[in-house]
Amino acid sequence: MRMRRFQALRGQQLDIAGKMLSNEQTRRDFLRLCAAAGVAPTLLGLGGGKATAQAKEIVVSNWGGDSSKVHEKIFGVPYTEKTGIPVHFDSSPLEGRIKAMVDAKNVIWDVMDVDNFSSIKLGREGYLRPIDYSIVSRDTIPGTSFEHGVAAYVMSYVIAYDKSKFPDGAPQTWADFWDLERFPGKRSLYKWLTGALDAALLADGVAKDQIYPIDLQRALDKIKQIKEHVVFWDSGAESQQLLRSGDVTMACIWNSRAHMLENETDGRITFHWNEAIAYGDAWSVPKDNPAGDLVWPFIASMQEVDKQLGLLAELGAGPVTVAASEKTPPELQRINPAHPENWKLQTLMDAQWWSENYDQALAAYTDMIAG
Amino acid sequence: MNDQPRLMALVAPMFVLLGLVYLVPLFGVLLISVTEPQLGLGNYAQVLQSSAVAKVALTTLRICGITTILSVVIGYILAYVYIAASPGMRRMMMLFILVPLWTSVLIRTFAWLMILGDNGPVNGVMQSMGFERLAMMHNELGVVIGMTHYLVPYAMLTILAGMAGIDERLIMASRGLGAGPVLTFLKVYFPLTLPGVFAGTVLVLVLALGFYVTPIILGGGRVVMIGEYISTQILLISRWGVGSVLATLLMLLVLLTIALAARAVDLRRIFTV
Amino acid sequence: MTMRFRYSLPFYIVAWSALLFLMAPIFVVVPVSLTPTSFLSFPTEGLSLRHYQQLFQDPAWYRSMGQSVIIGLCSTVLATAVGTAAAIGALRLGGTLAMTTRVLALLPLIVPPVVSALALYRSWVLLGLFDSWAGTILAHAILGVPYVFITVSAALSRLDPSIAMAARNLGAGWARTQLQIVLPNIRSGVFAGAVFAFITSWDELVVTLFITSRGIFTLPRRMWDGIRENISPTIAAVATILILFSILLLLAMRLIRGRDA
Repeated sequence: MRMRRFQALRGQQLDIAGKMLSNEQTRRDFLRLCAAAGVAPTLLGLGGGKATAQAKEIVVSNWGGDSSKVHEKIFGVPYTEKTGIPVHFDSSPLEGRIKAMVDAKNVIWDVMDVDNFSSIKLGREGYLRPIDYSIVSRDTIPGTSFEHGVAAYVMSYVIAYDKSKFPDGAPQTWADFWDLERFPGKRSLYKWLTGALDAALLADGVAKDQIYPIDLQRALDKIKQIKEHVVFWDSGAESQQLLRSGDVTMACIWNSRAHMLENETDGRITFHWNEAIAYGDAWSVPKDNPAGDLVWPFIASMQEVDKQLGLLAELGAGPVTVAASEKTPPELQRINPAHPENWKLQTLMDAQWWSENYDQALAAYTDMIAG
Repeated sequence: MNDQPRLMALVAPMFVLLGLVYLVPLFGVLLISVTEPQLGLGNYAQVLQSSAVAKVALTTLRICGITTILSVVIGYILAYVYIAASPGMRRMMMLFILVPLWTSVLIRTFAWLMILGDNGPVNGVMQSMGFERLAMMHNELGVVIGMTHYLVPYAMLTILAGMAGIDERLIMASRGLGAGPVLTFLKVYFPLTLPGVFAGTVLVLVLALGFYVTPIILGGGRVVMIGEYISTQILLISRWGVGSVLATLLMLLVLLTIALAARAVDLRRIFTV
Repeated sequence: MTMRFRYSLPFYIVAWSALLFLMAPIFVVVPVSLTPTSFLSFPTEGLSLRHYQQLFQDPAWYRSMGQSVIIGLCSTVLATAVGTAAAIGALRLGGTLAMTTRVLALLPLIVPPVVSALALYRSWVLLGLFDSWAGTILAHAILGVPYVFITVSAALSRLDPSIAMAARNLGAGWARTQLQIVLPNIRSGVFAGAVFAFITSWDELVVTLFITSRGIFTLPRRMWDGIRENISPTIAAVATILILFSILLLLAMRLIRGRDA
C-alpha cells in the first residue's frame, strides 16, 4: 500500500519535474544565469537576443586626447544640459574597427569623426547610415558634405618652417619646399600620404584647378626627388617634435600643430596659408547605431555657430558652416583655414577621388618610400 | 606507469584556452584571405606580385635578421656573466634588465629618439670629441638600435633559463682533463646551452617580425616592415583580404622556419651528447 | 650554485656596456618626467612636478594604472599556469600530439596582433565578453601563454629525466614528483615566462583596443589616446614611478630574504 503511494508520489514528482523543464520561467531564469556568468545564450543555441531598446545616450568617437576634452566641453555638456541625454566619448574610429563592429553587430558608437573620403568609401560599402539632412544642415563649404558624412571641420596642410634658418626669406610655395639648394635642411611629409601628393603636384607646376584627378606617377616621382631628405611624420605630436627639435627645417603639417608651435616658440617656427591644402573631416553614423535617430538632433547641435567657433579657438579646426565662417572674430581669423582670405590661397582635397584611390595610392607611396 | 592521461590533462587547459576561443575564430579571419572581396585566390596572386610587398619583406628580413643576431649575442653574454656573478651583482643586473622591460615601449622609443637625435646627447659627445655627427635617427640604424634594446632582455632571460640547470662539474671535469677555457666553452658549455639559445632565438625572431611601434617612430616613416604593413591593411584602410593573406603567409613562413631549425638543433644534440 | 670563472676584462666591459645600453632610455625618462613643458623635452629651464601632479589629480590615470595592474597580474597567473602545464605535458608526450601542442602554443606569438585582435573580438562579442574584466584577462592570458611555453621548455630541456624517474622509483606519486622535483628545477624558466607574460599584458594595445570600449581603459590605451595630439610627459612620469617601484621592490626583497633569489 505504502509502496504504491510512494510510486504514485514519485510519478507525480517526475511529472512536475518534466513540466518544469519546459517551463518558460525556468528558461528565463537560466538565461539570466547565463548573462550573470557573462556567457551569451546565443552560443548555447537558446537565442537570448540583443537588447533592442533604443539606448538613451549618445556615444561620440573621436581621436582622443585634447579633442576628447574639448568636444566634451563644447558639444557634450551643453547638449546634456539642454536635452538631458548623456553624451559619452570614446576614441580611435579606425576604418578597421568600424567595419569589425558593424560586421559583428556590436555597434557601440553613434557618431564618429572620420576623414570625409573615408565616409564616402565606407558609405559605399554599406557600413554607414545616410545622413538625415532634414534635421542636419547641409549648408557647408562646398565639397565637404556627402551622403554618408556631414562636414565636421576643415583643416589644412600648411608649410610650417623655422624662420631663424632662413634669414634671406621664407619658403613661400611648394616649389620652394622642394628647392633644397635655396632652402637647405630636411623636410617632413605625412607618412599616411594626405597632403603630400597635392603638394608635390603644385611644386611641379600644376595649376591649382588642374590637380584632380591626380597623376599619381608624376606626384610620386616628384617626391622621390627629395626623398632622401624627408622624414615622414606619423602623428600630430611627432610633426611638432620634428620641427621643435630642429630635425627638419620645414614641414607639411596640420595648421593646428603649426599654430601650437608658433605659440610655443614665440613665432620662431611659423606658417602661412599660401598654397595650403585643405581637407575635411566628417561626422558619420555607423549602421545600427545604438541611439538610432536620436543622433540627428545631436549632430545638428554641433553645427551651431558658437560651437564651431569654439572648436576653432581651442583646436584650430576650421568651421564648416557658412554661417560660422562669416562670424569669425578678427583675432581668430589668422588661424582659421576657412576664413575667406586664407581659403582663397588654398586648394581643397577632392574627397571623391580620395575615396576611390587612397588605398592604391598609399600602397604606391609606401612602396616608393621604402624602396 | 602510464602517464598518458595525466599528460593529456596537463595539456588540456591550453587546448581549451587557445584552441576554442582563439584558433577557431583565427581560422575565420585567415579565411577572409580567400573570401574577400571575392571568393578565390585573387588576393594571393595580387600580394605575391606586388613590388611593395617584396620590398617590405626584404626590409623586414634584413632588419629582423640583424636585430636577432645582435640581441641573442648580447643576451648570451649577459646570461653568462649573470651565472658567474655574485648575489649582489646579480640583483643589480636583474634590476637593469627588468626595469627597461616594464617601461612602456612608447616612452622607450621616444627616449631613443631624444638620445640619438642629430642634436641629442650622443651626437653632442661625439662632436665634442671631434667626430662627425652620425645619423642614427629616422633610418635603419635607429630602428636596429631601438629593436635590439627591446629584445635583449627577452634573449637574456630565455637563454638564462636554459643555462640555469647546467651541472658545473661537467665544466670542471673538462678543465681537469686539460682542455683550455676556450675549448671547454666551445665543446662542452656552449652545446649544453643550445636549447636555451634556440628558444631565445625563436622568441626574439618572432617578436622582431611583429614589431610595429619602433620602426614607425625611429625609422622616420621610411623603414616599413611587415608588422606595420599588415596593420595598415587591416586597421587603417580595412583591406582585410590583403591583410589576412599577408598574415597567413607570415605565419606559414615562421612555422616552417621553426620546424626546419628544430630539426637542425636536434641533429646537433645527437652528435654532441 | 654559482660558477666562478676568471673572466677577462674585455668581457666585463662588454657586459656592463650592454647593461648601460639597456638603461640608457631610463636615464632619459626620469629627467623628461620633470620637465616644465607640456611636450617631451629635457628640462633645461628648471624642474617641475606638474606631470606627477597631473598623474595624481587626474583619476583617469590611476584608474588606468589600477586596471592594468589587476589585469596584468591575473592574466599572468593564468598564462603561467596553463603554459607551464602544457610545456611539461608536451615534453613527455611524443609524436603529433606534442607537435600540435607546440604549434598551438606558439600561435598567438606568430600571428600579427591585429589579426589576433580581430579573431578575439569576434569571439568575445559572441560570448558576451566584450569590454569586460574577464574578457580582457582571458585575452591577455592567451597572448601570454606562448612566452611561458617557450621559456619553460628551455628550462625543461636541461632537466635530467633520470631524477624524476628516480623519485618515482622511490615511491613518490606523479603529482608529488611534478611539484617537488620538476617545478623547483625549472624555476628560472617559469619566472622568465611570467615576467614576459606580465609585460605582454602591461604593454598590450591593439587587441585591447578591439575588445574594450569605455569600461576597460588600460594604461597603454591611456598613453596612446591622443597620441595624434600630443605626447605628454605624463607617460614619462608613469614610467619613473614604475622604476622607483621596482627599485623599492628589489630592496624590500633583499631585506626580507637576505640571500639571492
